[in-house]
Amino acid sequence: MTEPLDPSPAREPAGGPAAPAADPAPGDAVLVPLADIATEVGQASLTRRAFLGFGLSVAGGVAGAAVLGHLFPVFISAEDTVSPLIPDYNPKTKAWTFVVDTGRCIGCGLCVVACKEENHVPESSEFTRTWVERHVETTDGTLYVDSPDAGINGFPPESTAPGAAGKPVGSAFFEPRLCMQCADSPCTAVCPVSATYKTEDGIVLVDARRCIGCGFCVVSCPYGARYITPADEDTPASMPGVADKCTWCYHRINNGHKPACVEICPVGARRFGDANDPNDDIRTAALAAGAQPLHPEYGTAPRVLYLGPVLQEA
Amino acid sequence: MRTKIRRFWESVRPRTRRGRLVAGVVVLGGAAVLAVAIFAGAAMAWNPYLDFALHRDSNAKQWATLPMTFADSSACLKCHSTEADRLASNAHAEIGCQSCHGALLAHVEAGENASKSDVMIKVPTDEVCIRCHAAAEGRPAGFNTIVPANHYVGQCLQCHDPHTTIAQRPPVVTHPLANLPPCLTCHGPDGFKARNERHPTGLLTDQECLQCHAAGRGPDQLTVPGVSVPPVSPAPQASGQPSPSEVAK
Repeated sequence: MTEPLDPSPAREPAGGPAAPAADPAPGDAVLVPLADIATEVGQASLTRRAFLGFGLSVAGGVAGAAVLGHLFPVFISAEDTVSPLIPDYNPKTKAWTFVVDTGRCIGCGLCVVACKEENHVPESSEFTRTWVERHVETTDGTLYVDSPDAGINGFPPESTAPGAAGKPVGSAFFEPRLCMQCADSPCTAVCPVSATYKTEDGIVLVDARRCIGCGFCVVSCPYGARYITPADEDTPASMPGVADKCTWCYHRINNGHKPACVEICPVGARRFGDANDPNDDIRTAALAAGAQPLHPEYGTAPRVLYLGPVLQEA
Repeated sequence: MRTKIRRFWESVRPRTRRGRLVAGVVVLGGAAVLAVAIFAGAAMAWNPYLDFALHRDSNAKQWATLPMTFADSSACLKCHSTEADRLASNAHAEIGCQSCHGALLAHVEAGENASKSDVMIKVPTDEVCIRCHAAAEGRPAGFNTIVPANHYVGQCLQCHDPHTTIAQRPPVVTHPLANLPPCLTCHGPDGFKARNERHPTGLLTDQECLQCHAAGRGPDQLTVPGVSVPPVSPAPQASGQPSPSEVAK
């Protein structure tokens, strides 16, 4: 077998296959150079053993490269479970759940204090990531809501809402508020520069470098959870004039801690956990107890759940 | 093995000039393609500018790596087990240390070098107590509240130990004398039977003394002729709230 690559020996009626066709038939005009080269190469070096050896080397090289690439991954695969942001933190497995129990809240306002300190929220009470409201229903059936200085100094004995003074109180409770981290968030939808976005673990964040401070998100939030940082303050993102909001203390929950307001609440009115974690009692606290989101009729799929008395705003 | 390799090389080595040329081009070209692929891959995987790019991952990373100020509440108990034991059986047992003493992560991270100077609030002021325990609309039923106007406000910790919630009540005073002069005559700072340091400093009126040492303030039944005792019933601005004697249990 000296001519293994001869393409069509049957079409070579005259002359030896090893010899170049001196005067090819008109119909074989195309085949002649091919046969020529094939014969020459075959004559030069290509035996079956060589051909198989070359093929095996290439196949072996490809297989070796695949094994090496598997052992020492260079590229980040889409199937990688570990986030490259924080070691040992996989946002896809988290079902962060925030539960507020208005039946327990005593209105001390320590959560507001802790939030300001932990997140460098500007001092003024206009700028607050979390706040506490007092809902008072007087005996004549009127609802009053007040939140003096966002509740950072606690609450005076009587409601400061206009018209509430002196009226006999039927029922009253405190309602801590924060960003609901809506699953269907209007703030991310209206942002014209995509500065606000949702992470894989469902937390809505603001990229201060992209934010142009237009305030669309501030007015789009039905829960009033956003504000524009003032110009002359030490702001959370170290950048004034951009939108800011509660992040559920993203830097704490990423590292296995609870948000600062949950950590400091003296009566356990704020609870936080991962509903995917079987050892976390947030399941019993929230789902089994029948916690409900605030104002689900807004249609934003809010993710903070409330237990205890919850009245609609006056 | 060596002969096998030699035989293999003999079988595949290029034998003509053209074969050598082709083999050279294939080997060098393959090496070039590999080099480009590895370089491009490495350049894509290693991006020194990620933190400065307008990339969402870099922003989430910025948020996720901000410094903390509050420690886990369980961290305190590693060293302060004595206080934890005192706390364990009282109404303040569920309250984390940082609720009253402020953010303590720096103190926790100092480890064995931790000192009192790391503690933001060593002794909380009355403001912290009042935040929770002043009567106000909206406090849950059954929560212990006082009406500050009717209570001895100013030095809560002089009588109350927040770690045990034991309150030292004003002592029973059955005064031996009748027709008493003003209290400070004898119990002033320079009196022969001066009040102890648990009392507020400064000149007090008899009214202020009787805020604690009078009927309804405890088991004592002191009355002073000619001095009207301040009302024990809740102040007008806190109507509907439990009186101090009710909640002081």
